[in-house]
Amino acid sequence: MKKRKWPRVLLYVILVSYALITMYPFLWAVLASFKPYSEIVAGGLTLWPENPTLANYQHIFTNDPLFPRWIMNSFFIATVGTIVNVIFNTMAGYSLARLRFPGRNYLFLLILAVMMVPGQILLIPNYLIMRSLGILDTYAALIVPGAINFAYIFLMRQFFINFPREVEEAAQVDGLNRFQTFWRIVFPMAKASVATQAVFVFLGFWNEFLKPLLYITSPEKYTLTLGLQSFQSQNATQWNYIMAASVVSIIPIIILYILLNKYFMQGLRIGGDK
Amino acid sequence: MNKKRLSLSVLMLSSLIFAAACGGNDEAQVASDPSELEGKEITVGTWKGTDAEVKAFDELLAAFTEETGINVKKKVYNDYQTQLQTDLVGGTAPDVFYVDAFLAPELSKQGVLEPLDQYAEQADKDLSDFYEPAINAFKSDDQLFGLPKDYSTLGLYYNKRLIEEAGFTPDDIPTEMEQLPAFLADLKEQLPSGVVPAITTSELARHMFVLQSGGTDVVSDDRKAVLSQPDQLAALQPLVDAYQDKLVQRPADLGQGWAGDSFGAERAAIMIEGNWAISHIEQNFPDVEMGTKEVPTIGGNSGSMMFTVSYSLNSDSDEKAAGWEFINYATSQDGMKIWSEGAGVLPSLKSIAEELNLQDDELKAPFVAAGAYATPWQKGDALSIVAREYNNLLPAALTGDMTLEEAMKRAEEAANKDIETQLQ
Amino acid sequence: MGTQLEINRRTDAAAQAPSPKNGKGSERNRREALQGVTFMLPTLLLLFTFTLLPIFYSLFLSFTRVNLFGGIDFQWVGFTNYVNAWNDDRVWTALNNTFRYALFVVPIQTAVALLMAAVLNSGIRFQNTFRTIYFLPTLTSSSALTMIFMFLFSLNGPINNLLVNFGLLEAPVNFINETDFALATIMVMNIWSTVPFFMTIYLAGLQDIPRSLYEAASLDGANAWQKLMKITVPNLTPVTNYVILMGIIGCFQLFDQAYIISGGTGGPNNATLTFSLIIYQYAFQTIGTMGYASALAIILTLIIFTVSMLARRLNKEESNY
Repeated sequence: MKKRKWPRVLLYVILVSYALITMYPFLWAVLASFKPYSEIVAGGLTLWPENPTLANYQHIFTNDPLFPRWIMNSFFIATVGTIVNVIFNTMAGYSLARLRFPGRNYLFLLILAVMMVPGQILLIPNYLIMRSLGILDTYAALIVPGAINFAYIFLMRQFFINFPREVEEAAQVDGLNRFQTFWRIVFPMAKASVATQAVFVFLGFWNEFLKPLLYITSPEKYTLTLGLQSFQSQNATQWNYIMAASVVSIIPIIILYILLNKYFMQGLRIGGDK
Repeated sequence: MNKKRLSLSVLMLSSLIFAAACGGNDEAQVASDPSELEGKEITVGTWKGTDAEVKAFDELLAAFTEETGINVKKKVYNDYQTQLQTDLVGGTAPDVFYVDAFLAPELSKQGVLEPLDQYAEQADKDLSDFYEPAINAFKSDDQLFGLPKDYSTLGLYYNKRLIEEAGFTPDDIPTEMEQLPAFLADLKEQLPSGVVPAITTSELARHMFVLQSGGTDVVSDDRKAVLSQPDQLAALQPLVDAYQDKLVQRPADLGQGWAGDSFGAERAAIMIEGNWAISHIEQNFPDVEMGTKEVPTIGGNSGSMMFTVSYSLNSDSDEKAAGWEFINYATSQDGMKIWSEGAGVLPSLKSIAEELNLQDDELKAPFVAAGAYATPWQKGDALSIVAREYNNLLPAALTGDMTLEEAMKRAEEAANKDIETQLQ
Repeated sequence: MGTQLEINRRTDAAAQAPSPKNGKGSERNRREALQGVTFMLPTLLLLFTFTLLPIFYSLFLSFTRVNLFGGIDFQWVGFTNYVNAWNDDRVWTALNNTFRYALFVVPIQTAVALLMAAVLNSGIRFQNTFRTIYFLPTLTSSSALTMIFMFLFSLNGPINNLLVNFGLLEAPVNFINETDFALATIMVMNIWSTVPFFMTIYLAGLQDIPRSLYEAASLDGANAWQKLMKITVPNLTPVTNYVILMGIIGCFQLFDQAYIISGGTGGPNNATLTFSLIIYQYAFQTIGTMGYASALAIILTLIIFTVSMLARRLNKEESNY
């Protein structure tokens, strides 16, 4: 069946060079976390630390006794947030793509439009709303407003537009109602896009900085990003700690990515695969 | 532009968003008997400093609680400007908080800072012990909106090893700005490649005293940006020339975030920076041997910038009396000593500077000396706009895209237009 | 607005094409509408509370001069803020910068993301390894990235060395601090850091294209390029629409890099002044100008909306033949 192939060599050259471009800054950041401050800012672009040290990690792990607590907080918020998001976003995306209801197109346009409003301007009104609801300095302040994400609702809508209708029709013939169809058939079949969404939503919660900064005041409720931010002082950025901190904070994401890996390349392959 | 208050209905619409407005009480609420305040709790808003500062601050709080029986909760800001403003709008701001002198006029104009004059008077506070430029930075309209907790000034740092290996001694570094370029040119000849003679951050916060050295202020009395008067241009031109001759560079040119890192990494032999760089370099670049001097004089006059931060009282606070007690204690001789000794900062009280013998401290002495003559980084509520445009356009003059005069004229024009339309 | 709605309907018509709808009676339609709204309920609730309410509030502020501190002190100024924005040279400069930026970044990042995704999906070896490596930029913290890029593009940095050695430059260029290069540097940074996200989206989209289409094309003797253009690209139109729209929104809201590189001023000489940066300046750097900041935010929203709808129409039309 393979009549003509991509010119393989060229392909691998492209792949490897792009991988190098991608890897370099990342590796630099990881290795920098093992360098003393003076070596980082000296402008040397050598990757390998001349005087490797674990002092940066030692500092961030021991500087504040609340450190493990922050990790737990971040995990809790990101996990709950991701589960809620994946369900709500997928439902909304499905509805916008597949179910006809009055005003649907206006609603879709509205969702597009609100994504376009620059966030800086919404900080203060949102803060006032949080205060009125009495959820300042609670996990709810971070989870509830973030329980949906317009970008991923939009993404799911785009995915469901091409979704084969026959599958749903078959399910309905089998006597499943709309909700059962969604839960048992549609949701599992959209694995690739749901997994993609989940990783980025988790990443978003995990790295969220501005919201915890404004809404959380008690140190025992800090998220990891907020806790790590406190290594930065007013006059100078302690790059060595920042680098170590960012390495610590990406480890869970890499684990999640690897866990979800098998779903990424496993969507619906109707027809030819059987 | 009709100046009318909004109708009630519109306010109702946004009533979900707003809680109560503040009640204005102009009376200073000094407790007649301080023991009444025992057991009260106040919140103090700070930003994160060095490890030494954090430790010293905790000691200060403990000493204060012991002295007065008032408990203090800390609120640490990571992004001061955004967080404080959000807190102030939301009514969740601390009772006492740090105010950068730079922001003081804008904040006091908005009515969020409690004037402290009456409190100070009733408490018999000795205000004359404060360094004059520092306390004056918090005065607007003849009212006092904060008491300085410490201050920083600019000074000249030199790398002993680089200077000596180039065949000079620290005494060769000129004390007059007029002779500095020639010295830097000589130095450049002798320095290893990849090391620039001098490094400095190019922004108005560092240059204001230079621009004003001829007697023309960067913001006029009628609140206009003034950046392109002949005396200002003449004062600034040597810097532009030196930059173009590669005698002076900016940290970003070398790939660093700020001058302290370029100097610490030994990419520059001399820098003009604030005294906060001392602890930064000692901590992060222990091998660098540095020395400090006062900023060279301009036209025979000493000059430097002063950056200062106050404790100010939230005008919306429910615990003003207790808040004042804290401010009073932290700026008293006892409190000031705990803070400045522990944190290694310059005390805003002259008596404490003397007591700690800072004028004899090898590295800090030039910065202490500057406390007497430095220009405070504060110039009314238009300064943030003027600084923004100056910082935006100066690089164009440095790189030679524009002449200095063109750039400054443009900055002045843009700033004035903005001041006119945006500030009432 | 009217034409934009029409465009949208036309776009959606494709989605509904195979729907077995006609002649099924209104009972079924009613039920479907009810289901549709039920599925949307959580979204509607949160949308209203945490997004629309703040937007209305900002809309309202945009017609005022306001002191938000302490008490409520509004001064109704009508369209003054909007008129001021029209007369503000900085706003026009920012608009110009932002348009140039989007015009360059959006097509490149879309094309690169699509191409890399297609290559990754073409059954090569070490697919998972490459995909994981390409995902890394999304994980690297933005402050670390900015710092690395500052080294890379500094006077003695490797980019300058490379260009000078190859004779492309006579002398090193101060990329970050020179008016002509600062924005271009940010463009490169941005493309580098956003491609992985869009590539991952494309990869997920590629999973939905039935294998049978490619196999049929192979039987007809189509080569890889033909398959890409005739099968992959058209079938990915909804995803491409997404990528382009999100790209446009991201470009027009560009803030972080511009802020860090210019220290919040938009310099040198307004070269990195973006619309979002101006909004931030009036919202948080100068006190008491929230009304003007809100007006600018509303204007920016309208601009992004218009540009997005135009882009959507273009993409739709191109892939329709």
